[in-house]
Amino acid sequence: MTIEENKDVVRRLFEEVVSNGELAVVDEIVASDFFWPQFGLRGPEGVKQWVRTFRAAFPDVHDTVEEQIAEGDMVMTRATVKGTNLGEWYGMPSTGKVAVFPAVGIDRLVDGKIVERFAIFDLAGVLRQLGHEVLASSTPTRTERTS
Amino acid sequence: MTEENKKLVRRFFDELVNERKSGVAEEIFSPNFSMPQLGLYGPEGAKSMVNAIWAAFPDAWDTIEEQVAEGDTVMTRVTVRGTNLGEWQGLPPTGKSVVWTGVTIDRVIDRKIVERLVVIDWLAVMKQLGYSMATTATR
Repeated sequence: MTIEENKDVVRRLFEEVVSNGELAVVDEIVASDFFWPQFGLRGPEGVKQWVRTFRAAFPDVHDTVEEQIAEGDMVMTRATVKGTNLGEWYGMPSTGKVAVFPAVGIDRLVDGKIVERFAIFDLAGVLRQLGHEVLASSTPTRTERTS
Repeated sequence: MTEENKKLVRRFFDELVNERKSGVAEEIFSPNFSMPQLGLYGPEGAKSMVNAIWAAFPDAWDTIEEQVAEGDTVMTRVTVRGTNLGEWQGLPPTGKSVVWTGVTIDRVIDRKIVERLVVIDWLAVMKQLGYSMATTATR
């Protein structure tokens, strides 16, 4: 597998699976021994579970792949995520607001399938966009400001 | 070239952040450096980013977990450890030790970083400091 082929596989995760909700594609691009250490998710089912949770909160989610770089068995993908928060998310009630934020995925592939991944986005920034605030639970004299 | 680019970015974390060598900023960042996300420009802008972290987490220490490079771009994933001894985002110091992950995407031209994008899960930091997000939003 070339790095370009690996990039295409990961691109399918963002475009076909997340944006289009084509969960069956997960079985084609995620290895049976896949592991996602961040969330303790395993196998194609683990990825489907993560996608379902996200799409429940943002049913119209759309990922735009902005750039990809790859080296060896690794692919880094930077995407812009846009979605309307119409379902509960991280225990927060839905707000009906639109969030737009950058996200980065770091995927490792073996034989054209994703075997491990790491994903990151500024969750606090997203929650702020949705209208939630930082709460200083220990002290009432907070001087929170948004950045 | 990609290996040299990785080394250059590594110097930011090892020398500028961990060894507190502010003077190397000019060797690492182009005069044209820009970080549109935070409105930071030039080596001075890069230093101010580091200074803000140091003010809140004076013992901040970066460990590079992995790098991926292709063309003029370098992605670096780091684990940051620090103790919150100064004000952070307007919040008073908590004295708590926190660990978080950051990803930087750097563009390198002529052996200098010209552009950077950073993604950090700040909520993880807040939670470790004892804060949470309040559901103040109304539909």
